[in-house]
Amino acid sequence: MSVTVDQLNDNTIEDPSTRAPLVLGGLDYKGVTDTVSDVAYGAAPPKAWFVVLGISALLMGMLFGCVGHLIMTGVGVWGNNNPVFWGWPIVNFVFWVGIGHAGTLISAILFLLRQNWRTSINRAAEAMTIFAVVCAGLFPGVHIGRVWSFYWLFPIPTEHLAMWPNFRSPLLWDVFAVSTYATVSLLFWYMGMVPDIATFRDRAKNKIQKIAYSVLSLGWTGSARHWHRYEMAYVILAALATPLVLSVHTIVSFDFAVSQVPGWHTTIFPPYFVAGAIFSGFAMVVTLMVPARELFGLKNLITDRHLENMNKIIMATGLMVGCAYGIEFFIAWYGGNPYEQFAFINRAFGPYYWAYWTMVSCNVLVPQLFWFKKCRTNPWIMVAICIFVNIGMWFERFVITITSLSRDFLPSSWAYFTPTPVDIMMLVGSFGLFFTLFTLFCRFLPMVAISEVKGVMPHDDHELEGAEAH
Amino acid sequence: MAETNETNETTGEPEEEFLGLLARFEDPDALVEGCDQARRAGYTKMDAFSPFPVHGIDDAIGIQRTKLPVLVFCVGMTACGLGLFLQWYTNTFHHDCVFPGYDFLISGKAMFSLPANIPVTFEVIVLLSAFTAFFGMWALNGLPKLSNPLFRNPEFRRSTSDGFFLYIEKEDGSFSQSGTRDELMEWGAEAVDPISAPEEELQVPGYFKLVGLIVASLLLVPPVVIFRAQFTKNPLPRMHVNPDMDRQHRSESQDASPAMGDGTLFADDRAMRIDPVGTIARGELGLVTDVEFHDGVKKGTPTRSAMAERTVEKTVEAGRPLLVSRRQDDAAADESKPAADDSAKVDPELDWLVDYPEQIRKKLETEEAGLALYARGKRQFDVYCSVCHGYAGYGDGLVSKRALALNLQQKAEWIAAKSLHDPQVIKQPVGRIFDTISNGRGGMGPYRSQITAEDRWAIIFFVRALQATRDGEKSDVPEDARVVAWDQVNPLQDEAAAGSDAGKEDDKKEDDSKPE
Amino acid sequence: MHSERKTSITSERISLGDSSLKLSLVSFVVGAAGVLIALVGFYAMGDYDNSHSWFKRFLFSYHTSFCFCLSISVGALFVVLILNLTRAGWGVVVRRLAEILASVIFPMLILFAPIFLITVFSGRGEWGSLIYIWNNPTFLANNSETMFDMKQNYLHSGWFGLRILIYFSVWGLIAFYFFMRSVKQDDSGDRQISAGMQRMSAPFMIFFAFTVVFASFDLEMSLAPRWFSTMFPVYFFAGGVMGAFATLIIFCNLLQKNGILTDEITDDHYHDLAKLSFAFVFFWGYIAFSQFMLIWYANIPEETFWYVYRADWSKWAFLSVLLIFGHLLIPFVGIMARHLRRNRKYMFVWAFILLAFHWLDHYWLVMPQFLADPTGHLTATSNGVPGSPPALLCDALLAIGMLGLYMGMVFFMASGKALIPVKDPRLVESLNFKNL
Repeated sequence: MSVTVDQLNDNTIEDPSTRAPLVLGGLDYKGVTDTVSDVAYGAAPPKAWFVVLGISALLMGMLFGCVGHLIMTGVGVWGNNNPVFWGWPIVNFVFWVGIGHAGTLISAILFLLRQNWRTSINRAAEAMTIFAVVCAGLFPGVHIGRVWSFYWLFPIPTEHLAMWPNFRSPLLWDVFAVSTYATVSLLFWYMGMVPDIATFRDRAKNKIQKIAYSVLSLGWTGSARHWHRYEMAYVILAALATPLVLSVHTIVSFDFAVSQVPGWHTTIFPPYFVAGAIFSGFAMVVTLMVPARELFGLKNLITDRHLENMNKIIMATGLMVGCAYGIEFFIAWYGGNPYEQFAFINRAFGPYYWAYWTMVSCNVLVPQLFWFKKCRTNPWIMVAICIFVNIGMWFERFVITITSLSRDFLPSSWAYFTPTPVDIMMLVGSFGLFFTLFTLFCRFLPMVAISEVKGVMPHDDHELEGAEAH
Repeated sequence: MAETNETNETTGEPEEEFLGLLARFEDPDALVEGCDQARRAGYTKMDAFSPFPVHGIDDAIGIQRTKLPVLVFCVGMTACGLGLFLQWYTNTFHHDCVFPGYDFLISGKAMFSLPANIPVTFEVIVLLSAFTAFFGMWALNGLPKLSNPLFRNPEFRRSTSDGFFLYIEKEDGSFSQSGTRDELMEWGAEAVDPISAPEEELQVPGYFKLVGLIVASLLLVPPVVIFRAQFTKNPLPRMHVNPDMDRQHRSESQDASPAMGDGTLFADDRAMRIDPVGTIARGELGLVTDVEFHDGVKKGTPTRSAMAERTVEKTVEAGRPLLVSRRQDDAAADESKPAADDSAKVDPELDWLVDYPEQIRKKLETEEAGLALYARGKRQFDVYCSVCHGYAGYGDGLVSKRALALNLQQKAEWIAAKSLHDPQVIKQPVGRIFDTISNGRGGMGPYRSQITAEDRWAIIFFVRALQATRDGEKSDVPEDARVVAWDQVNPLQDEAAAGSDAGKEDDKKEDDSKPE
Repeated sequence: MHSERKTSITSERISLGDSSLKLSLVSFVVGAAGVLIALVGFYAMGDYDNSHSWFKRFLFSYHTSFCFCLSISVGALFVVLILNLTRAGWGVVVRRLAEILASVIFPMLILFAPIFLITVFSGRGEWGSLIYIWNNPTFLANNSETMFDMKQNYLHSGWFGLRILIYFSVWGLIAFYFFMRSVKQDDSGDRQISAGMQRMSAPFMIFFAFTVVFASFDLEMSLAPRWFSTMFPVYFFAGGVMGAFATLIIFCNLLQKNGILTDEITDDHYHDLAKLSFAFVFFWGYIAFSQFMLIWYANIPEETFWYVYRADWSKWAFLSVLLIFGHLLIPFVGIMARHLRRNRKYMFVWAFILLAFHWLDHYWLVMPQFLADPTGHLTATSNGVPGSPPALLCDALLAIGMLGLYMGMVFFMASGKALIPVKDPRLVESLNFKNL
């Protein structure tokens, strides 16, 4: 099963008799270490890095300005109003939580499915997950109005009030699901990173780096006994994170689906939301990884094949989402409930038709381009498609939330939802927060799971020879 | 490290203490091979180091399978119980204790609804299991441990990049410094280095500890203050760090009209607006058109609300304020009081309905519907009226009894509930009784909003029946219905105390069960 | 410790050989006997009342067992598709078994014939509505003013029949394509066949998804025509795939007990099959819970009636609770540990239990609709479970009979074929596969 020379040039060539190499450029173990740690220790980062960081930080500042304004003034600064009480904030929340699904999916589910190609991208995807969950948590966090009373969300005993959260409310399930997800993702991410931080520690060039990375790596030595328990803990965390990642977006979908609002109450919501989350999350990973691998010279580790595999998953989940749109429409008709039928016709042909058709074209039509190999492997095209997918997925949440609420059971209260400038600035600002965190992560933490990539590199003698022969 | 220190102190030798040998291998396969050989040669106190987990090394060194999964499983099962208990306790267990639960009924779901409790239970299981896996792994590995003699070997830094090492401790039974070194070279090691303990342990500077202690003590202050605040009272008003929505530019219900210029915004001096004349709420058209059914007065005669409205109009026309504004001074308030009292004294005797309204009469046409109306009336009477008027209508309901007892102790000023067998009540037309139930009278409150109009009529129907059983003549009872000798029941009529007994008799007749 | 790398198939026997047709015949005979005895049994027990004849009872039982077998094959077809789509290496040694299981889908149309013919060709009437009450004029008359009005044209016998033919054709086409190509590779060893199968698996997956969605609506959901749930296809699918993996575990065990493929299918493969069974046990639980939770919580009468009937202790609640434990909680704990998953005998027993509960799952979906009165309501007249012990015995006999007929087809398809893709380019990888 030796690797062919062709595959060393282009590992997207399909040959059923071999497994395509996942590390190109003839890199050996040291080469992998150098490639990844050069991002942190090499020459000053590229100019583009500073530009992205600068712009993102500005937008982040705008976000925090808006949040301050909102806390001082009240949630009335948003466009949420009768009958659309859940406006952009919930749309942004669901959007960001969805983005946050890719990381854990890649590191847990693809790990359990033994998809070795995940090793090059899982670290960045996990980081992205955590940053996306931070962005997501912000919106409901400030939506509670009196943010200083946020601790009422948790079952903390109070002496006089006997106040407890209502555990029969899906919104409370959300609190538990999202905070559990954030915690477990953080543990998973950090645990995966410890051996790589140890690598950074052992290559530190100044005292600050040395101390910081020493503390963060907890004194990791790479002992076989440690690896044994480490791998076991990794499997367990993956096995726990797999149902967890399903549960999070399932519970987000419960927020909508347990109600009786037409267009929200449909039983397919849990798996449909999960598929949509994976869809948007993977699209975001591709959007981030393509420029990142260019900027930091990681093309030998994050190869075209990695991106191609991602794109295939994007297409598959896109089709699942499309299928769910279809089932929803069919059952709305088949179920015979006039309110439900109205809700769906209103989605497609009502006042928000533009949002609906944006969603359909971005989520269902555009990803079909991935049927062509050219589109799956060309970085420009794939990034363009992935950006469309993310636009589409934002609109999906917009369509679900706004169209159903703006046409409730009482026609006298029907209204057209209009966002305020604060709404828009907070959405844009949340991207600033996300990109600021991600840019900083790229520079200061191991962006590729070094030890995991090494684990899937061929090390049989003849295979190495084959790789070096080129 | 503690051990090393001790050795140095006892022996007092300045030289570094030898701990073991570190051998470097070329690649993972060589490492596995080397480990395998070492294990076969009888070494047990050894460890391998590699930049990634090497396949097959566990067997080569002889590593026991970790118990971590068992630990996680046990914690997971415990978490399942814990999660369910948390939800059951907080949403169900409402008792008088220190941190009681709070049983709040919501969306018609049972207090403890298992399907709704599964998501949170699941999250609790995952969270605690993940903590166990994560922290348990580090604890079992003995990490974090930032200092390690191996780190002193510069070559060892390659263990996190491309170095594959085997370390054999000198404590091992089969160890001999030269022999082991030769064996390692024989098994394919590329280089073998001795590892030794540090000469003297680096000490944390003393002022670090002092500063740490002070900071830690200061950190205790806020929680202590917060804890104290839980149990103390403060006469000062709450601090408004952020005013948020605590004060807003709007009027609360029952507020006076906001000031505007010299006067107020609304001429009648109240912030709440009354409905424009003729406004009828959705679904309540019948309230206006069907006065017989809803007001108990004959068609075409004024109703109580019409009378009240007229009084309001007259008051407004006369230029007297309907309400006493909070902002007005006491003198003005005194002045306006008599006027307000006048208007409150409206208690007109209207043209009451003598027979039941048409909807009820229709029901009395068939025996079945009549009995149903009676049963409904009895049920509603038991629910709403019996607490004061008593089950048999003698005005001896439990609330009334208790309140009268409190009156004797000067703890209440209760007006006794009227006996429905009072001749005055028996004389009243049904419309008048209907009005009493709807709008209250004397000490009795209005029940218009609690009991539907139809049920109010049903109650009257039942009350009439009750009156007939207590105050009627022998001839009122049809021959074939006389199952109890008349004399057995009748004498009790005059004794109020026996009323409840008679009520029981009454129940038996109806074959109905009722809590006493 | 360093085991030698396997490079080729070493088992003495890799096919059923001559015994295949014999086994097929025996299975058919057993199957036919089972079905006939059940038929006689139901006849002997007599009618329930005017609207619930013994024959209707037989058909419902028949439909249950048919859907059970069909879902296994549909699940197996999914296994074939996903193994090809993901270029899976580990599963090559068991892929042929899945291909054979899937290849009987089209012939299974014969087994569906009784219900198909009755529903499609007797038109709207008492006979035509023995299984599907939407074909009953009384039902239509009673529901014309309700929400059912517009569904009439969709749930129409002719249109229904056409759709059934489409589903079976699409499945048959996909299954035969993979089966034929894979068998062809056994002779030619052409590596491009693998590449071709991988390419085709993507579009086929889409056709598969759409047909499964609508087939599950038509076959089982429309038994209660007024009820609807968008989750239902996923529920049907999750159970079917779990059934397929359980069946594969049973097949592997039985084959190896008889000296076939003894060297190729190792503990590591059993481990993966067990893991996937476990995954789909959990997935089924997830789907079942989500579907129930959403309907329970929203509490809308037009949806809840379906569950109310199944949660009534005088009717079906016992079976519902049995499913929660037997189809989810007990297997969840039972197949959790690694060393148990690697124990093929242990998994052999579990596979039977899982299949039994999978059958009960279909029983739970289908059978409560038996006592719906002609207006489609499951109310006063439909009192209690339609099962005395003898009736349940007949149900079990019919299930065995149906499995016999099904296995007859499977053995027939397996005849003359190797039970492992002998020249698959990824076979060597699969032979040397080591699990986590």
